[in-house]
Amino acid sequence: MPLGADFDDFYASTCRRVIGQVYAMIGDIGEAEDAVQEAFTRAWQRWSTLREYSDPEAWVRTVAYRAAVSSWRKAVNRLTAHRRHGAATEVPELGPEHVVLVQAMRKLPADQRRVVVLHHLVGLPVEQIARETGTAVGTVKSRLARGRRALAGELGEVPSQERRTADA
Amino acid sequence: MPDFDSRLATLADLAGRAARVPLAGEIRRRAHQRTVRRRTAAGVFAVVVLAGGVLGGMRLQAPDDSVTVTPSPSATVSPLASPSADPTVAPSAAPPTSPPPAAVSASGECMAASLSVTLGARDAGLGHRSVELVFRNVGTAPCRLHGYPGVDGLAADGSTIAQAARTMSGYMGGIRDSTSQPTANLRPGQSTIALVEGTASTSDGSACEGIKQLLVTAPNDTVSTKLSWDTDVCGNFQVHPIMG
Repeated sequence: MPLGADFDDFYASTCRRVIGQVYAMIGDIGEAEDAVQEAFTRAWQRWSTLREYSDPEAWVRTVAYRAAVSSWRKAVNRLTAHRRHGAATEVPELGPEHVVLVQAMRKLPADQRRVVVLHHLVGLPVEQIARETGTAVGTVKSRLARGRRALAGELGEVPSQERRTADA
Repeated sequence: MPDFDSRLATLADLAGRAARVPLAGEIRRRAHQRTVRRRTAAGVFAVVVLAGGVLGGMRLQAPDDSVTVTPSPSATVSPLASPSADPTVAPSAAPPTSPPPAAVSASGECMAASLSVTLGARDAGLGHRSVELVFRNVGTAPCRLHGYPGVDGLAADGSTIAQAARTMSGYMGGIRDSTSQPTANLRPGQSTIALVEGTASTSDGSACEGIKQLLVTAPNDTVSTKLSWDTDVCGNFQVHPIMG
């Protein structure tokens, strides 16, 4: 299969999912769109290598998240402030139940929010989260625990513990 | 009340579906333009914006994602099978990995094969410049246009200086009395416009390198047309939506 065609398939089948994940991590749909687009652009530039990875989607998600939160990017956005003119920060048509969740997530520190999303939305075990975020397993576990406690306080319920291993 | 995991999944799903995403061809085109720009080391304000920052290296799964301005090893990665330097220019050229471009999309949108893209009226005033992009249906069937065309401002050597910001209106025109973008229904022979504008000065007072050409892509399409617009716009580069 030609290189371009399998990249197009990869992009078409993953980009919206990754945007949803990055949105859940940062709470701004416009920034998520831009950051994911940036990540896929870089992915194409190195596609012949990236396509051999076991999880190119994780690579894209990580690059997108870092692009979204990098202080360099925020400085650039201030210079090109007019670019965001009229572009959305909020997801349109969110019902009240979603608004409550968004507000609760926004109160978490970014590190905790990212780990909560990687575990509860993306479904990664703690070891994989540690690799993706470049932090120690213990750090991931403590951020997850604190994030869950804070969310339980806001949402009046404890996020599902399920049977994900090595959670403690 | 569904559990937290389900609610989070629904939220993310809504966001993903509401997101505006460019077509894959647009992503590949942007990447190609960056690779070309790095090789020529040209460009003014947007190169810094688009060239990426230095990101920390990743463990295990990926090589270091730092971005440099030296000729990228991805020059060999850029697997554009077409022998031409810029495979997206020429409205009738088919991208090498896709079937020939359709004239009208499945949902009735005008595609490159049935559109002529030219420049229309130019205007200026108080340091602002504008030009109309004229999209004419030169096909045999009615079709629709809606939203923002993709517009890049190029230097004389073809390198990208800036990408036009998508704004509803600006100093020189656009859609001012509404928050919604109209749809242009074009019978064969009919045309509509989208306004491009900018200012003849940079936002930080640096030297002005004016745009010399526009690379225009119709909304929801991936094939581009290069048009000569020799002007001194070097700031606040914007495109407004297709007019009804």
